[in-house]
Amino acid sequence: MSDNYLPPEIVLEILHRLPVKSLVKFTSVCRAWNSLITDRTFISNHLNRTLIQASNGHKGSLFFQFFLERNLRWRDPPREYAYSLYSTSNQQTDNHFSFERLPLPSLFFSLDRCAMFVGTCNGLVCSDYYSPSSDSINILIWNPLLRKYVVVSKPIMTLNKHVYIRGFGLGFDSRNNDYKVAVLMQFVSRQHNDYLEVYSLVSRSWRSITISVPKFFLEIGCPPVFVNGAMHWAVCRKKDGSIQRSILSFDVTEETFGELTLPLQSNEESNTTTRLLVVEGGRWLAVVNRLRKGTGYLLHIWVMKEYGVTDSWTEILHCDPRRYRGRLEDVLALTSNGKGIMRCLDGAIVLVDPTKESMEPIGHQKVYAAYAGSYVESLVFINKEFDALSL
Amino acid sequence: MSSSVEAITVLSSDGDEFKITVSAAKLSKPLNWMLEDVCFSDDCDEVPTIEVNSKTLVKVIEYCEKHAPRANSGASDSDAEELKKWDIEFMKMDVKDILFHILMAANYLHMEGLYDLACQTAADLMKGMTVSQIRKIFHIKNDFSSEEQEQLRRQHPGCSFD
Repeated sequence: MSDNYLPPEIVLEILHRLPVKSLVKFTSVCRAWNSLITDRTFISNHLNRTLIQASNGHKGSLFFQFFLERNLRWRDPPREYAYSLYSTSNQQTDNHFSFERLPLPSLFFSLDRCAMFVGTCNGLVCSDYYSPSSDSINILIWNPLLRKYVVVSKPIMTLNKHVYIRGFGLGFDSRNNDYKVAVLMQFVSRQHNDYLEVYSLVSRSWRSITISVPKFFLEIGCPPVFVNGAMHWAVCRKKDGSIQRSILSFDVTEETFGELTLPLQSNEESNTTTRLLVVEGGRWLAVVNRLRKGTGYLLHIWVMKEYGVTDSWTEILHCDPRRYRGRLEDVLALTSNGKGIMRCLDGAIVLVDPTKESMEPIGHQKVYAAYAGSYVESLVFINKEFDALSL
Repeated sequence: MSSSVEAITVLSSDGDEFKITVSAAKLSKPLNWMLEDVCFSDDCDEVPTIEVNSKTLVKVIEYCEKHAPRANSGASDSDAEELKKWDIEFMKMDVKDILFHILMAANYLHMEGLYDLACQTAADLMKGMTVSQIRKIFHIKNDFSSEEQEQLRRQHPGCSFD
């Protein structure tokens, strides 16, 4: 040990701990480092390390699409204000919260309508864009940090006027090391059975899933959340004359459906709306209940601390939005330490600490709608060409 | 094993003698084996050699002595917090001169805590470095042609290469 040449296994250990941006930079150090960093095993080990840290409350972050114009319609041509994309970094130790602006792929501006983000998984984000001219769906899976994306081919089932709602989601099949997009379609006529198709990035093709979709109505405007290897949709069904709410799950590896029970309170109240909520780090499933009360409403946020265990639903925040200055309008996401990222009526984004009943503005002042997903840095797609349209 | 022994003497690769307490030496598996094998008979006069240079061994022993009480008895949250701060101060060192030696020593002595800490410190120092700084500290020769380098930049326009 007289010299200071590090053995390769130690170099590898250090590289596993570097952030994605540094690793991309260091692909140009030499050929050996380049092959090491772009190797599948390295990419997957680096990601697993980040995911473990994210589930322990470190390094997990959030992805946001902010809409900065009040009267934005989906029919409008895409403009910068519809694509304000950010990730967050939340350093627990110094309680610092910041947004980082993400660049957009140029492809988005060649579309005739806005693309909407519908899912996040392992540092990839999925956007869905419906083209009225060709009556088709275009789906993009994208690593915003590396600015590399893949355009997914069109689903088998064409969209037509009979389709009432379609729910998209992005998930990871850990057994086959495959990213999958699922499309759940419900039809205007309840005589048509609900229909599910799955796209596999490995096989680069769509497949219809033959098992029947359980009978539910999807809640509109509520993208699925990927937690614990499954996509989750907020759903409801009519039972004995009343509306019963629950969570429909689709296991991305096994390709099976399941159902999760909501916290007790949200089922008892009939004048409640329930939405799934994203938690930083992607470790938990959470719901936000909006309970109408008089002329206003109350917000209740619950977290399922142990996946699949109904008794583990824990209420972590309840508040009367009118008690906060600026009036809280919408809950966008939860941080890993239990704070709510919310939107006020005037469009300001604030961080609400329920234990102190305090709120502070974080970055944005005029946001009229938003998509949020849990996010981690990842090297997935590093081998793809920049801004390439094909695989 | 004699309970009367509280510290043992070890030799560095440079031949210098160092004292390390038994509880601190237990943080390293190989050191622990060494203790059990060699040094617990009262008439033992053999001094084991550790293949780590003196400058590095001083730091390794300092780390062990600081962490031993907590490793052996568990600690409160405030102790853990204090230890974290101490680790940060302890790791303020030159990369090439000493940190790489600490890394190799921690690896060789199977000291998980120190190895993890040193790897993270190295990563934190490296993330802000330029490509040429990295080549320099790792003694790496640039084997890319200028065309290949240009191509790499084009492939990753979102990232700074300087």
